[in-house]
Amino acid sequence: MSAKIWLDVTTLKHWQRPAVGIVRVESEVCRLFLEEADPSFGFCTYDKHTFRFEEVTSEIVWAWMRRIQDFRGDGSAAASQPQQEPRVSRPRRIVRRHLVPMFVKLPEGLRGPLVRHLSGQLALAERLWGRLKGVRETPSSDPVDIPSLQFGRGDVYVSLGLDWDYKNMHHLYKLKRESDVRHVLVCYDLIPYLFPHLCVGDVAAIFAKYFADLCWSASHVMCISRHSQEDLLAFCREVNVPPPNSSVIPLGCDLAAPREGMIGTDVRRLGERDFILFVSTIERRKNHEVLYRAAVRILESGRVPPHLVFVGMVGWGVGELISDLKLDPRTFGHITILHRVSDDELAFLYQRCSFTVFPSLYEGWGLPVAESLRAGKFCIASSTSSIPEVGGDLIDYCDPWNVTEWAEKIVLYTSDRDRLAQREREIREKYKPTTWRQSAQQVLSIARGFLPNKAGAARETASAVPAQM
Amino acid sequence: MALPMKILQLTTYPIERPLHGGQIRVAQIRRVYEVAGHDVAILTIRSEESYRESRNVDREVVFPINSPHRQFEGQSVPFIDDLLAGRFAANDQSAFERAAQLVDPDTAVLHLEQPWLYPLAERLCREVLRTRPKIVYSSQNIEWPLKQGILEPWSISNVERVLSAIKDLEANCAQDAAVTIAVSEGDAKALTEMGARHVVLAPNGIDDWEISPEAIAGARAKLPREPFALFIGSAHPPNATGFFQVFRDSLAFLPPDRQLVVAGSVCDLLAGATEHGRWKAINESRMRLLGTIDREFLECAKRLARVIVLPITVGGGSNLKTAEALRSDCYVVGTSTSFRGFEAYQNLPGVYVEDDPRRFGETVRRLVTDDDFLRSRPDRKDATNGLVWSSTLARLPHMIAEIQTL
Repeated sequence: MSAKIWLDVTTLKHWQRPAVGIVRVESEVCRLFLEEADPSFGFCTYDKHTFRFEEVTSEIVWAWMRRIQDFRGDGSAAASQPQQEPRVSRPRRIVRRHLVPMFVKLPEGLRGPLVRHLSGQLALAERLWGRLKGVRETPSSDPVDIPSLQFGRGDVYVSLGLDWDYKNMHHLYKLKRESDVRHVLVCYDLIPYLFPHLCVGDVAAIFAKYFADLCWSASHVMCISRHSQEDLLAFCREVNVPPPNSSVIPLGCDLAAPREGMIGTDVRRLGERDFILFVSTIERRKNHEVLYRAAVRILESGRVPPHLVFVGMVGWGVGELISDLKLDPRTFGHITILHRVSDDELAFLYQRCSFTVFPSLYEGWGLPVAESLRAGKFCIASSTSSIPEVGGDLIDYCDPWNVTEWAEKIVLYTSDRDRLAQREREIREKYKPTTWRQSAQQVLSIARGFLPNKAGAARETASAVPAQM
Repeated sequence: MALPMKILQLTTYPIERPLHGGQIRVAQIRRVYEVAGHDVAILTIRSEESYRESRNVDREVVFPINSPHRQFEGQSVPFIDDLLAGRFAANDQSAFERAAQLVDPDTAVLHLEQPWLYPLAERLCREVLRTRPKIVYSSQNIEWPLKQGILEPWSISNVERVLSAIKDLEANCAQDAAVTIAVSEGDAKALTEMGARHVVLAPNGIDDWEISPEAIAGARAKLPREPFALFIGSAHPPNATGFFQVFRDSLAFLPPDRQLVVAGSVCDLLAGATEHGRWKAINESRMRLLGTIDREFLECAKRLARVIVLPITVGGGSNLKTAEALRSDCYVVGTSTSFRGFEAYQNLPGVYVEDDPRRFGETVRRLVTDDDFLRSRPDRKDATNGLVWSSTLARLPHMIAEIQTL
């Protein structure tokens, strides 16, 4: 039997919101695998509590992808939601119904540690519940009866998702060591290790272990920028882990054109006015604060700031900012927050914005910058980390901490329409976007590089793929 | 055979249940003296808070925790209780009287283990013993640089005076002793330079220990199933210092399924130091702290380990740990400091000397993961016969027989 390439879709299985960058990567690689319909491709999921892999059919993967793609702007999934959607366990339902409403009222400093503690307790409760259910339900519906996937000799396992949540790296390492399976894994960034203060709770130690185990477990690590690759290799030197074979794969940035009837009323109304777009989860690292302060600075100088639209879920560490935005009468009507925005609505917003901003303090890549350029829109972005790899000389950069610089640039490109049009012309002429299909093809190419060659011997290394802007 | 003599060993720790290297050494020397037909007594000056479980009840003087002698020239200084114990025993009148009651006035040889109790020995000679005994100074280290390494990180204001006092003490011991015992060639040279007249080399040794299959099976269940490395150490601060200097805080050089097992009271120091910080999760997954374990379990752990590590970066003397590691059938990875006194054994099969922390980790990793190393174990049995106590202390009976003529 010939060796197969297995794409892990555990993140797709569990994801219950509109796609974020990592989910998009997994989805787009899935799409290519599905479209190629190569019998040597397979899909699987992983359960880190039972250490079991299970094979998943193409139909189920399509359904999971549609479920995520069709999340509407109003937060409800579209009618095409698949029957195979993972069920939410009873313990989790109880927590959501009774504990979460109380939880959001707690001070932020308490929430992080409590989340970590309760997550562990919840996982335990779910396992116990699963066992109880196993007694009550018919054997055919008991997950234990689903045959565990056994990888074949020379198989290649590709995982691109939220592995720190869904994988047991120790188990993956043992699998790699004890069987002839090659693991192609991904490193998006080392932010939780490098800047734990910008994440929820004290995650540095947990992620240090995750990255160390990732390096041990992977036959090959794909990094999403040269900067992330350098961060990973620096980490290896620091902790004395052998550096893994690695390469850089640029992420795609194409969004399908917005479909008629899929744009919510609020978003459609926004599109009728001038606005500046910032696409990102609203969390400390993304530095929405500097834009709020820049807006205040512009107002205090006697000008009217452009309308700012923040697209993204409200995450951690921004309680005071959100409160400021609600209560500060100076910025009333100048800043709008949109969350649970669908792909159609996102594409619509990119089309309609004047330009985009991206003041993030640190990134593994900077997908919104690439999406902005792909949509032909100019961007003002932070000069940090990997972002210059994305924007090159086609965008303007600011020090992420310099409020004055942000205010001046925003005013400049809001008031000087000719200058903005010139920058957009340059983008149209020079920007060579990477499509998601190209990204997926690179992943596939790397995975194929690990398949046994004609002589039957597995290759030791895959060829590194250079980064492209 | 020499005429039987009354020998008094002066120590700062009991040896009823010897665990750390110093205790083992004193116990072995006592055994050698007894086998030679001498009458040996031990007087211990024990810090009140230490060795509570294995006291030398009949012949000990307790150094109270609230004694004014706990201060060095009016200041509290950590890690010098041994130095202060000697001053206490000699200068605290009730302590000295208690010591005097416990000493046979006809003692012919005062065996001073380490220099700490020299002030007591001197006063006993002056005021208690009928005839001036011969002093044997049994050095375990050149102590002052060792203390310097321990004290330096603590920014103690009068550290120079402390070190000077220890230097003087060592010199007095060396000059006053009829015989000085050194554990390594290097120490022998240093002691001679201090003024020692007759230096006998008696390196630290080990004893072979029989282990039952049942004990091995029991230990196997408590130890990692995958090949593991073993670090054995007491709560002596340099053990932790060396550990962190060599492993640079992170054990990520080991793959996720391999572990470093740590045995001994050094675990208390490591646990406290690694419970926070960025490497916590990495180290928790790759380190198993056994704490203080009994001799049988320790021997089982040595039998089951693939590698014994000796991350020793400070200290003089020679290490029993090194001798034990060399005698085992494990691979041994140590620093050049750890092989002080055992230089002749560095080229034996399965022995690796690595002073670069990165290479140290890489070597350990190779030894617990590479099939080439996992297929067999190094055989050093014949080559290490000279490491057992009966060999290392072989010169002591002659020394004690001739001491009256010196």
